[in-house]
Amino acid sequence: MAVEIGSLTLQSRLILGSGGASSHKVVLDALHASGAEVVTVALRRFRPGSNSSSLYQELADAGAIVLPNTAGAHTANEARTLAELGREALQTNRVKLEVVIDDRTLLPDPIELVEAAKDFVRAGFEVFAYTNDDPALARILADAGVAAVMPLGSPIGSGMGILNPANIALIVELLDLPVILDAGIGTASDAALAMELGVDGVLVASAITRATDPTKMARAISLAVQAGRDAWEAGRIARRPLAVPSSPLEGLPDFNLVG
Amino acid sequence: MELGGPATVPDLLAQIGAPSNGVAIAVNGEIISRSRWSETRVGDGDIVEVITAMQGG
Repeated sequence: MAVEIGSLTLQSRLILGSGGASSHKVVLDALHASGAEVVTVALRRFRPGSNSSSLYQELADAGAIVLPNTAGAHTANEARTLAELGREALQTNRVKLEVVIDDRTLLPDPIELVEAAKDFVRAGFEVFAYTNDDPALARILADAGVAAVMPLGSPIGSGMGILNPANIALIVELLDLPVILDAGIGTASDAALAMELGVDGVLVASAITRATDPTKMARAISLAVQAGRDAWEAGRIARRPLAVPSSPLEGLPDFNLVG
Repeated sequence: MELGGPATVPDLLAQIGAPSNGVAIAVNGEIISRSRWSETRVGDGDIVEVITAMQGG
């Protein structure tokens, strides 16, 4: 079933981050294997003499929706510059807003993030906001008018999975807005857990692009996203400390019968 | 870098081997929208930024 995230109507709940791939081909193969429709890209200086094939063109030719990010920004002003460049380069108002506190943790800077989110919304961007796993901050971003919040499971590229599942579930419960789990996914089960917590989608980059076999991992994570979504929609049973028998307790035979 | 004389933005992109899609250009600190590329000339002393989509997040 299709999911609406901002102005996007998607069949796949997996968004592919292109970072960490050893070549454009790895990204394209992962795109095909996963069925993802959206791919994020960063904006950087063109280096004369470098590979002049256009990643954007290759992704567009493959039918992907290319989402520029503001990775590399440490302030709201830097993020705005990257967002304007992304809007101009890719001819889209959509932007994945990232403003990090430092390069060691790559954790979102909440103060700069909120300032940038307000500024971007005023400037007509459709904002997909990469944020901490903090329900309060997610609410502030929602009130600022972003299209989706993208809480991290754990630091970018760490592969540590979802460190605070309760907060992710709370963000889903509190916000009347699409929630995309972004960052920290290490393997398929992490993506399934994210979906079981009720998020609308998952963004995965390193877990796929840096896997030993990126194409196979792309497929595995795509299946996990689908399985996790089905499980969320199906409604899991409650956790309880004691057993609930799955076989009837009545109608047991006389245990003194001799065989 | 040295170019073969003043050029329009599309000429410049061709000279440095950059793709024309998925690219943003700033000249002397100002982003030049695509619709103004062919009328914008760059020459000696101009500071040109050529930004393109790369693999990332």
